This record gives sequence, C-alpha cells and structure tokens, in this order.
Amino acid sequence: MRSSFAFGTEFEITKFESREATINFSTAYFDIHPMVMVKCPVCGEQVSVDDNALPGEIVEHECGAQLEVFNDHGKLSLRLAEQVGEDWGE
Amino acid sequence: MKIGISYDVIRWEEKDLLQAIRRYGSTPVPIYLKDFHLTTEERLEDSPDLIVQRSVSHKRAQLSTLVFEGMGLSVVNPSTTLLLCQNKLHTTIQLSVNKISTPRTGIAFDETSALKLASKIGYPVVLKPIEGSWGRMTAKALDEDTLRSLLEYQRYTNTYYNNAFYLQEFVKKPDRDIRVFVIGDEAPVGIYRVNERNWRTNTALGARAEPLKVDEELEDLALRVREVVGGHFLGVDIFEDKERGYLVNEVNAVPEYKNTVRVTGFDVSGKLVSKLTEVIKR
Repeated sequence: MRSSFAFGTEFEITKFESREATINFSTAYFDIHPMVMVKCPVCGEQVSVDDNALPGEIVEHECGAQLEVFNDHGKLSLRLAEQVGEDWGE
Repeated sequence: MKIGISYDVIRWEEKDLLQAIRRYGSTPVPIYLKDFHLTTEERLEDSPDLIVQRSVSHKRAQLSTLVFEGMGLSVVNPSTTLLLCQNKLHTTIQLSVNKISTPRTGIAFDETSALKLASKIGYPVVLKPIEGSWGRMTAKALDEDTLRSLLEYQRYTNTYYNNAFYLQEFVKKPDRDIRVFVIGDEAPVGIYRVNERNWRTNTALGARAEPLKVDEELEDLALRVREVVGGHFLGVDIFEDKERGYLVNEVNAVPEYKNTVRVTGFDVSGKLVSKLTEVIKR
C-alpha cells in the first residue's frame, strides 16, 4: 500500500514571472531557486520566500509576525508559527 | 542510500544536516511531522534506510519515533534513548545506577516533602521541571521561603508533572558548564557554555560558546553515558566541581549544535552522516 505520508512533498508555487512550477523538495532543495511572493496571514502584505523553502521553515516578516512555511493543498503558504511549547527543546 | 530527517521546525542544524547528507552521496528525505498521517496498516513504499529524529517537540519526537520503529525503520536516536533523556528523573536514576556521578538530586510528590528534601540536599537548591529544555522554568531557591513560593507556582502550572518536585543541589561551578557531543562511538567535539551573569548556562539563555578540547577523561565519561542511554547522537552536559570532578547534569537526545560548529569549526553534521552511513552498511 502506498503511504499517504508526504515524503518529498510537492508544492505548486507561483513564481515572480507568474508561471506555475512544481518543486519536489526532496530532490530540489539544493538547487538555485528564485523567490516567490506569498501573502502574510497577519498583515496581508506580500512576503518574499525562497521557493525551495521546506515546510516548517520560519520566516520573519517586517510586520513583526513570525511565520512558518506549510503545504496548503499543494501550494506553498505561510501561517503563524507555532509558539514555543512546554515540550520543546533538545 | 536514503537518510530521513524527521522534523517539525527547520533550524540551522536541519538545513546543515540535509546538505551534509547530499555531500556524502546520500539522498535526504525530509519528513515534516505536521504533515504526518498514517494508519497502522500502512507501510512506506519509498522508505529511507535510516531516520534522524530532529523534532524540536519532545512529544512529536517520541511518538513519531515509535511509529517509525513500528515500521521496522532504524531511528537515531531510538525511542528508548529519547524516553530516557527527555525525563530528567529517568536520566538521573539510570546514570546513578551505573555509577556515573551526577549532582545530588531528589524527588518529592508533595510540597511539605519537597521542603524536607531541600533541607537534606542543602540550600541553595535548584527546582527543575522533570521534562523541559533550554533552561526553561529552572529556578534557584536560596532558602526555604523562596522554595515554598516556587513549589506553589509549579503546582499551579498546567505542566504534566506539576506535582512532582525534582530538586537538585546547586553546583558551584565556574561560570560555565561543558557540552560534549557523542557521535556514534566517538566524542569528538565539545564546548564550554559560559555565562558570567546567569547561573543557567544554556546557550538558549545567552551563554557564550567557547571551544573545548575534549580530553581522554571527558571522552571516556561521555561514552560511558552513551552506554547507559544508548543512541548515536547525544549532547552530554557536564558540570565541573572542585571536589568531585565532573558531574553529568543532563543528556540531550536531539542536541542543537549551531554554536558548536561556529566556534570550533568542527563539521558535526558531516561526522554524524559519516557515522550513520557506517550504521546503515552494517
């Protein structure tokens, strides 16, 4: 049975040139990539994100929000980063 | 060879590890735990040869490691090591049983008993959460009055172990402690964590990392710790005591090493990947 667990998650992302691209993160992480613009969920402004960003990467936006990259139904998106938890650490 | 990185937050360490895996000729397989969903019947078709557990959340680390192991996958570090290291009482007991010196430590399950325990240990005492990291909620009580307040504060938190009081002697260490990294069967690198303004020497709380030469005694101690807790990648925290010598304070099973690489120049990720490759080939 094929796992539904997303190894090498594929995202559809919109680049500056407004063309669609699909990135396989497990193989494409180290290639050179352009930046993509993603909407900040807090202030609504556009945030520039490396299009090779992995889900879970933290992005600091100038509005003060700390955001994390996630896979929103195949699209690279940003959401408020998870707060440091009681069980976080080494 | 495919090496999985199980993670929830991408820090400097995870990025460096992904690059090192590629550099050593293997394929990195990022496993983002927040996207994780799997029934017990499912198996991974395209599974890695080994998974490095890097979750910053102890719960996610522990539970996902159990799932991976249930699929027959090897995880570094294994669930037994995570369980032992994430619970400070468990760590202390196992180190003591195996004759590894630790700071004088005790446990009490009631505030009155905790005050009696502190009298036995002697003030100042340090109150620590049984599970926690980065020095969070670690507090020093100079006297009974202060400790009584700290105990009360802990009891009214919503932490899982809020009614278990882990008390430790305050070790009068120089303004630093020692972090030695165990990588496979070696302890090749370490740092001093120096803080002149805060007795808590966690780098997360502003301590300064300085290079340390891991001598034979420290290496031997760190490898003895590994024999007790298992695993392939550990951060062993050690105090220096004038009379008793080295005391093992804590063991970290998902250690951070950005500052260690910065001040020593030692390629921790590369060394780890090299050791993991040996493990996979065995």
